[in-house]
Amino acid sequence: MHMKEELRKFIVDNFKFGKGTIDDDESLFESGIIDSLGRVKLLAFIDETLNVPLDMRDITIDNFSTLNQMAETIENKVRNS
Amino acid sequence: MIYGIGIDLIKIERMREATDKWGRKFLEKVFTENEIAYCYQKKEPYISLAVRFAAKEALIKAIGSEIAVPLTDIEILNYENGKPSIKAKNKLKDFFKKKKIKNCHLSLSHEKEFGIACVVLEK
Repeated sequence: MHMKEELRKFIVDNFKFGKGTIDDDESLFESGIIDSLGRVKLLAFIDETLNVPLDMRDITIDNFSTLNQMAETIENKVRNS
Repeated sequence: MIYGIGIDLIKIERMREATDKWGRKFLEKVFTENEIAYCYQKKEPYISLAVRFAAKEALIKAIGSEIAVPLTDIEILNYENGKPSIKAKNKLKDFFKKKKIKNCHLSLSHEKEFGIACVVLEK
């Protein structure tokens, strides 16, 4: 499964309880879909499943709010590691 | 003079679920080694972990949106008498110095399902 689709599935399953979907450019924090604890769970998922150890220092509101931003941030981390 | 105030509430069960599922990969993104060691000495580590997470979020609210602070730059320790305290590290330590924050007051509590923390920053 493509990385962005894995992220989408995890977010829908864990934060929307399997109901509906999310758009690529939807702000997941501002909309309240993911809260502060959810953000850390998402990082743990990315570490465990995608094998990319993102740190809290790697993410900001400008590079980790939407699916597209998350995918780009992960790709950048892989490219620079 | 009060610089900021923050409060946060967390369901303890959510901390247990996250910790059980992701283990150290989750813990190390939130807590320092000192905090992990302290909490796992307790009979109910999830309560201690949950209130510490709430304390970190409360502190971030007290700071406002001026800087993004990694959760591991905030260390929640306890004095010998059990009173909790906040140790600012790295980026947060620099921020406190820049803003001349002299005191960081913290209160923690929990009851069955929930943990809560309140932080007051004083200049």
